[in-house]
Amino acid sequence: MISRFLNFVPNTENLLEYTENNKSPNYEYIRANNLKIESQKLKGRLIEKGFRVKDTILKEVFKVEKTKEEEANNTEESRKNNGLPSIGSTLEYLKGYYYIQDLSSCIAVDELEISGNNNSMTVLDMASSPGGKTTFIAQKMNNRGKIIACEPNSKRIPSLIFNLSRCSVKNTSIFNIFGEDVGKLAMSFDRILLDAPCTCEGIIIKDETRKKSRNLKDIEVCSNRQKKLIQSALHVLKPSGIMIYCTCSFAPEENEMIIDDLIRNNKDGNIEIMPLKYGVNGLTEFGNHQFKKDISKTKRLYPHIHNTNGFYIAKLRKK
Amino acid sequence: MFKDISKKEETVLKKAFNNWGIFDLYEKLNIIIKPLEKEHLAKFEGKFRAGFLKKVNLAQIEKKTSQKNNGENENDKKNDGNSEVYVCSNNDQKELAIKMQPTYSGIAIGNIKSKKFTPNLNFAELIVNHNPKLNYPYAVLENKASNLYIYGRDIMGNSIVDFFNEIKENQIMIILNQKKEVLGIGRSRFSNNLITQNDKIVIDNVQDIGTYYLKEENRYNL
Repeated sequence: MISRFLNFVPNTENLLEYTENNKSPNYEYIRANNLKIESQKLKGRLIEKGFRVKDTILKEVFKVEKTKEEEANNTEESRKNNGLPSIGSTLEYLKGYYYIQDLSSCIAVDELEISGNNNSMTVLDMASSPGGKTTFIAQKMNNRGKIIACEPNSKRIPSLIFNLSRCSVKNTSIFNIFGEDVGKLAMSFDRILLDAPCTCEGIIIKDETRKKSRNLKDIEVCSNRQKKLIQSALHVLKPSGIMIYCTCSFAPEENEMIIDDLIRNNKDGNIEIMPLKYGVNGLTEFGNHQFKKDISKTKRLYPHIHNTNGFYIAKLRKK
Repeated sequence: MFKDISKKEETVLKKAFNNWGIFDLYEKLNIIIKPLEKEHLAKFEGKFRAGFLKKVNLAQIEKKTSQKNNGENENDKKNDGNSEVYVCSNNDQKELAIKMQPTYSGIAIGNIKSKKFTPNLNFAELIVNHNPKLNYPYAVLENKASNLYIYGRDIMGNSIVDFFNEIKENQIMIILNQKKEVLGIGRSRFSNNLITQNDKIVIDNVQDIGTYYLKEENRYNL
């Protein structure tokens, strides 16, 4: 699977080198939960405790870096020696003041263009567990309006409820349904986040088994499901509504090809691909496929270029 | 199954809001009720409350409530009037929850059991955010004790730096750190100044932010 990357990942050798050298990345991203605390106040509290907290391109998101000593030695051991808890066990974490979440996921939510002043906005999160993006959407909405969160796997719902509760999210209703069945709710939405189930190639740094545990059949299975999901999403998106489609995969079959297929089969011609702020442009071709011109407006994020998980984002507006 | 609040439940809740000094807030909230099935309640009590809350003898509740239940509706009879209380962000969401019956909606603030409201940590947050006068049962812990408390420890008298001066024995109280942030809910073993006795456990840990959420997470696996 890794050899395929040569065909579509820029500076592939850098990615492999980066992956090799960053088996345990020397940073984590956290997203301040503004439903409970202001971003800068949280930053100050963590710095006061001894954490190295740096700003990122998003005002709510911080990079928490390990100290040189922690990098050189056993991380957990040196944290304890410094009297520092892990970033996942601080009082601030338990209080729901922040969520440990990759920058790429936060960028996807940020692109939904959600206003905190709109009481009537309805947002659909089509595959919501464990709730990282759902809680960020609720934060962007200032706990107003409504979020419908779909989660087909009942075993994943507890972690979703846990995170909604920890982050004081009040505006979300969870439905134990497949995203494909969202039409049965007979609702339409101003915003839709489709963080599609994927092969997760983009998290190979954090989970090395992904290098070998996925094959072309898996990509095909995911790709077929993603096509159904995005069709279902389009049907329930209101005119002028915005949909973000994203995956944490590098595979064009799960990314550009899904959007290309959607545009080509959209007889109404009512979908517009919107520009995005961050990342490198989406592919214009793959194998024998020449994608529609606007597909290059979609974006890719790479670990070795952007210091994030590998990620793909497409922003669509229904005319 | 989510439903609108009944008159009886409303009475119980208003009393609780009043006792905690946030009566005015009640009318501003969009409250829905999820009756607890007997089976669910039994598992919940047996599996997750043992050890930090007194186990409830379901047979006893059943007997008592069957004697008192005359006039209550069918749903109340099915679950002995035991319910979870949720707050929605607005009326639209409340109506959606009642009409479409999602798995979960809003945020849980506690349980009504045997006509009594038991608050959880989200309710404690409501109190602290809306009642700055601190005219409710509370105790403020020093820093080291705060760190021990949030991982399940009970509270020693010498770790309390401030407290509500009308504390009664066996009273539910909110546990705060020195920044006045909610750490949990406790139950007093002593009243008034006896709460600061040295080298004695004076407040039992009922729920704390470290273990509470894990239990919340697990109980939906039932």
